[in-house]
Amino acid sequence: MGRSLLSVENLTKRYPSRSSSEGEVVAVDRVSFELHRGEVVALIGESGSGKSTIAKILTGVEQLTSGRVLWEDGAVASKAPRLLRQRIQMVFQDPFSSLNPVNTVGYTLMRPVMNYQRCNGAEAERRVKELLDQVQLSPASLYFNKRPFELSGGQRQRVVIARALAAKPQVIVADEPVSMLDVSVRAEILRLLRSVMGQQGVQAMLYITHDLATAEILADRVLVLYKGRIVEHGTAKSILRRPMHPYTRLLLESIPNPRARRGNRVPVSLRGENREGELRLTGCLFAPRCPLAHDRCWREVPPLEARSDEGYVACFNASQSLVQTGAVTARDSGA
Amino acid sequence: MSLLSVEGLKVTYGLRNPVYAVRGVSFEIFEEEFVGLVGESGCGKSTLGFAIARLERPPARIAGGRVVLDGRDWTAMSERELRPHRWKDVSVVLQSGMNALNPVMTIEAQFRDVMVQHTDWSEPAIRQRALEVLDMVHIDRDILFRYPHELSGGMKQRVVIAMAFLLHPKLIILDEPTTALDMVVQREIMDNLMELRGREKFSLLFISHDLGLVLEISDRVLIMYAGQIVEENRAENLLEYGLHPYTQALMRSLPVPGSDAREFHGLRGSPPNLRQMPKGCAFAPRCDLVTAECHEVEPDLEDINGAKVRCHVVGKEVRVRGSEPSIG
Repeated sequence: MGRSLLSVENLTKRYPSRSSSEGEVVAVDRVSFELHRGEVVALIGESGSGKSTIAKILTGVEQLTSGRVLWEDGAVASKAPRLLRQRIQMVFQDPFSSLNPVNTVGYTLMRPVMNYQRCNGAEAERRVKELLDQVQLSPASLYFNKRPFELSGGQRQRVVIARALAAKPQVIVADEPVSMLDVSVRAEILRLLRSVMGQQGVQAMLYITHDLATAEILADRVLVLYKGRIVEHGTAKSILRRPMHPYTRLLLESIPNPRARRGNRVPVSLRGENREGELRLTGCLFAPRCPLAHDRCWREVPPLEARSDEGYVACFNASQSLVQTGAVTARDSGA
Repeated sequence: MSLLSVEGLKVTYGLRNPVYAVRGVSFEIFEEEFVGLVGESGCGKSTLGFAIARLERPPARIAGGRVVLDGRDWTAMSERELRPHRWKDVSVVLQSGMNALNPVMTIEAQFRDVMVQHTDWSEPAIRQRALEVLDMVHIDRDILFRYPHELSGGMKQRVVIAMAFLLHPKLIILDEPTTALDMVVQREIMDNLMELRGREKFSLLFISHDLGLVLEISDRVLIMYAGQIVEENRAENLLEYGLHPYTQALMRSLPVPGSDAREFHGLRGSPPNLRQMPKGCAFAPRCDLVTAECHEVEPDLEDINGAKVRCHVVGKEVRVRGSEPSIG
């Protein structure tokens, strides 16, 4: 792990609420993390966890309410949009809507190449073909003149990745890049994302997803978000093998796992959805769904604390019951 | 006797130069059986699901074969004849079905609509059933008087599934019912379906691109490729040993937590263009076991040890080894 390329410090985003009685919605609540050179960090959570809001703030689409995003060289991201676009590029979720259907692949890629790599004509075309080779759309000359409707979902997502690379960014933010794709092509797209690290100047990646299983494949470190707060943070390996927070356990248990089918699999016990407009909680936001919740959880916000060599967790109960008895599920120990 | 029997079903798109999206599919679903239908985008699985429920609309057309449901030949019946049987014999939850809810009607009005149109139930009976199906999917009863936009995606999807149960259908077809949803919500819906299995008598055709999900819920699985069934096997057998090379490739593409990432592979290449089908086996261009014969002769769906598989290579291998393959 290298030096920290990008530091996110106490990032907070509040949106005004539609109904005035509730005041405002806190989408992201004092989130801090660092992105080091050479690493892929996964941000995991359900709809409404704030993961996409963080992506929008990092890429300059949204402005933060408080906190800051600081680059290694001291540049403050939110104050220099042009610099941001050069340094951070985004891979979107839906390759069916993120490519302009009337433009050819070549045209889609020529524009960022000419704009950010400052070259023209034959030279730009050569670089576009290089990009196409890099995302394994070969022969490049064949794909150069195709339009999105002629491509499969996986091929389109490769074009979207090439477009992000065209700006020669230092950081790529991939927001659910495989969730719209067939399971059968996800593996190859994840491999491709892993392989673009270190190429075209890409030094780090933020992988945003609700799927812990794919995070294990792509990411070095994992941040688990719940309603805008980080509830667990650790290496991908440790989080997948020894999840400490009950919410992380819930995410892990939700992954389809045919080998643990029927009788063997523990049914998800933590019912209740991530609903908007819930009553204001003074304590842990997960308490209403948590089988381990006790008085203190409802009163106090558990701080994010180091609980093992590899991880941090924000849970009053994580220390004993979950860490020591790795095999015991939240349900067994709670119900 | 089987509840549903699909016999040599063919579905085409377009009239002048028709594309065969479903190319002679046959299978059965028995009473109270859960059957999974798996394949990649464009393999024809949704087209097949539509055609079974006779919901295909131009340019799609049934070009051959039969669909026999509960003793009636649905392919020979007119829309008027089918109407009394819809929702009662078969109900369908479409992909992104949650967006099929009418935005300007309350959930109650939409439930009522189905029951008034298709039954002669009394007012109290209608109200009673609406509450029952909501209880079945664990949704608060007070959402009956809400509009779709007031519900989350997961709740809407559960409302649509509840709606499918209104008239006690014999067969429910779910087409990618959880694809647009979060993992946790998906898990809840899957658990819910398993739980309903113990309470309601129904058969299920579960259509998805996610073999992992399908294996969790199904008794028997159909693997579809380029408009044909390439393998039909019991779920527990597939977990041990998928016969067709395509099935094996799908199994390898499942990210199973805690397993070695190096064993996780996607499929190379893309499914064939249905307008320019290769001669021989449709999977041959992507297959690791391909032989000269595969490029020349299209394999048949053959019975092997109680399963069915459409493959020259695997078919021979298993026959030579006798009944030995490590099943169970």
